[in-house]
Amino acid sequence: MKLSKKARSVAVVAGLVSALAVGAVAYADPPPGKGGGKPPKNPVPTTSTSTTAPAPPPEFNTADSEFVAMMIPHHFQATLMSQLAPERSGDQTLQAFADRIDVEQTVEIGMMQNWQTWNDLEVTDAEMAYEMMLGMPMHVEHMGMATAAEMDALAASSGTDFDRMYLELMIDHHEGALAMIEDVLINGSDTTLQFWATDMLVAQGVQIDQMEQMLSELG
Amino acid sequence: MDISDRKRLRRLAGVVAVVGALGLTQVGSASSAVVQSDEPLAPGTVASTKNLQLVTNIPRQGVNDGVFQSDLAFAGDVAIQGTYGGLNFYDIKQPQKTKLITQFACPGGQGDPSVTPDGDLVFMSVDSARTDDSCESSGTSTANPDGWEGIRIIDTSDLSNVQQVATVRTDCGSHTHTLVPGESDDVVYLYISSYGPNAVFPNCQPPHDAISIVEVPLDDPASASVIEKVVLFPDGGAISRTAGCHDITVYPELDLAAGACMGEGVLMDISDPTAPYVIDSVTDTNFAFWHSATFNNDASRVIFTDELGGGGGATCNEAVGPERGANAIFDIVGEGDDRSLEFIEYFKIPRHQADTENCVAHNGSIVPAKGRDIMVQSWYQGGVSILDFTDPTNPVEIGWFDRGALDPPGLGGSWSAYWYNGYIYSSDITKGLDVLRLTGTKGLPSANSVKQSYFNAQTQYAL
Repeated sequence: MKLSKKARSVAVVAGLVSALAVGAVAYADPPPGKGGGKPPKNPVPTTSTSTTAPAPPPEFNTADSEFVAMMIPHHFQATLMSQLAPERSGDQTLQAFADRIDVEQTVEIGMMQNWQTWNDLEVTDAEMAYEMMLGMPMHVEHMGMATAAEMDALAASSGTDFDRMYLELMIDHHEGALAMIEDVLINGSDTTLQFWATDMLVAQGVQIDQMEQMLSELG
Repeated sequence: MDISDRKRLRRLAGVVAVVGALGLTQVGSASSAVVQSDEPLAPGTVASTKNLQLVTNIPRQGVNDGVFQSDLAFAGDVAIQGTYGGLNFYDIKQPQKTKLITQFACPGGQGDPSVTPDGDLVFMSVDSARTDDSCESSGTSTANPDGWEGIRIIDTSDLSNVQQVATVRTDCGSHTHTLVPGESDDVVYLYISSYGPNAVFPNCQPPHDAISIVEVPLDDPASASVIEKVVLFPDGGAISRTAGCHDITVYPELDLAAGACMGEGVLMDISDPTAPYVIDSVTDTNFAFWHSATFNNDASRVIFTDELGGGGGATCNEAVGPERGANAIFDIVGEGDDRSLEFIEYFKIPRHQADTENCVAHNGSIVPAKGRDIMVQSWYQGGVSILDFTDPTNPVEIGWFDRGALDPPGLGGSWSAYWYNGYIYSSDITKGLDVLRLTGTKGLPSANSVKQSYFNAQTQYAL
């Protein structure tokens, strides 16, 4: 099922409004397994009981495509917050930490966009989707994201004030991500995405602890 | 080659050649083109340094076509390739004529394999929930309390009749595992690395600061079971929570192990293989995801890898830079329980890859060249790289084999590249098995004279 460009963008907006239901964008019929290899001329013997190939690995479902479409703008906010650190924080540890998050989540945005390409899904424009989400306070809160006002306040702060606000906002942001990750790990079906999501679960969980430690050191 | 490929090649040929200080030349199907190191190869092209030649490729096929090909193990003249759908067995008696012998369909990613010294048993890691432990199972949700993941034990004594003989369920599944020799020859242990605990996952509850140890009696493998769950981080680790390990490499001759455990790299004492304990651990601000560890040949040094982006990301570029998604070289200093890890330097391949190419430090093994520290390593779509870290303060790439970006774009590239009896075997996620030959490298004759009867990359011996 292919949707026209116009139909797709309408679907995205509708999806955003109806709490994370971007699934409308996902195709009903996922593409077949990305084989690419030619069948062997002389098939080798197989010891499986069946002579036919096993079912291809589970392809993506709506939970997967929704997760990716929402996580891209979610990550994008983390990179924006982190990019504020070099000029505003006086703490080297925090600067290094923010840089880490910036690099890591930028890489992951690219990964998730590539995943959309591989699966013939519309590629989410990170910045555009982020701007759209900011205009929907319910969403922002639900996903642990900072509001537009909080982003402005963060940008206007400096020194220890910045450090504290950055850590508090990013902890909420990561907690929101963990909830999204749990959801895709339970309801998603794409093997590759399951492994990526598990890695994100661990990485962001560890980072929450690191941030809480940094926060407690701020007093 | 179609016309568009020719155009790309011509464009590449126009690029000013900056081949690097070592004067390496590129050969392969892109031999007419000389590419500078910060310019990704064109899709569809294959290139390598002159000293690393592709001997043969066996494409992905049969029951394991369409699924990702993952890690490798070796026994005698057989290479065993894990996949997300089962195992492939190759005859490598004549490496240049490597051929597929048989396949074993038994799904469950990622299929990390290891093999017993006699080649009669293969162990395979399953880290995604299945409806049951059979080879006929299908995928299920992580939230399913009846879901199964863990270790498959497979009888490979007769390759015309490969059979699963037992399974062992392990907490959080088995992302990877490490074969550890027992005190006697009739038992082996498997250190199960798994991670990602969460309160809502019935079979993966926090805290999960442990590894499961599976004991396999070799005369009765069906009775294999988890005998210990060793908490490696009783205090929660260097940061407040670790969440399991990704991979562990043991070096039995020195009772030593190096573990890549969420957020930190650890050195362990394994003198009692059923009671490993951490003797030192390190963290690194540049490291996102501690992935694996490889000792140098005498285990005086260890290389940890950072799989930034979990293997799916394009990290081999200017933006991410040379210190992230890289190797970190550590020296092991001191004695006994006072041994510690001392950071020396990072290494990352200097060849920039396209934005659609997943590329990051991945699995490798030591090339046993006398007096030198050389490692062959996979970098996914960054290809197979030969790293000389004899001078750990100045690690250099001395050879490589690489394909341009997959077209159409997709996840791919070399998952594991290991040295085995004079050849390099690279398991390519979508291209099958590559057999490569390294030449013209100082110390190679000594490496070529090393004969192994089996090889598990995570169970290292002095070669």
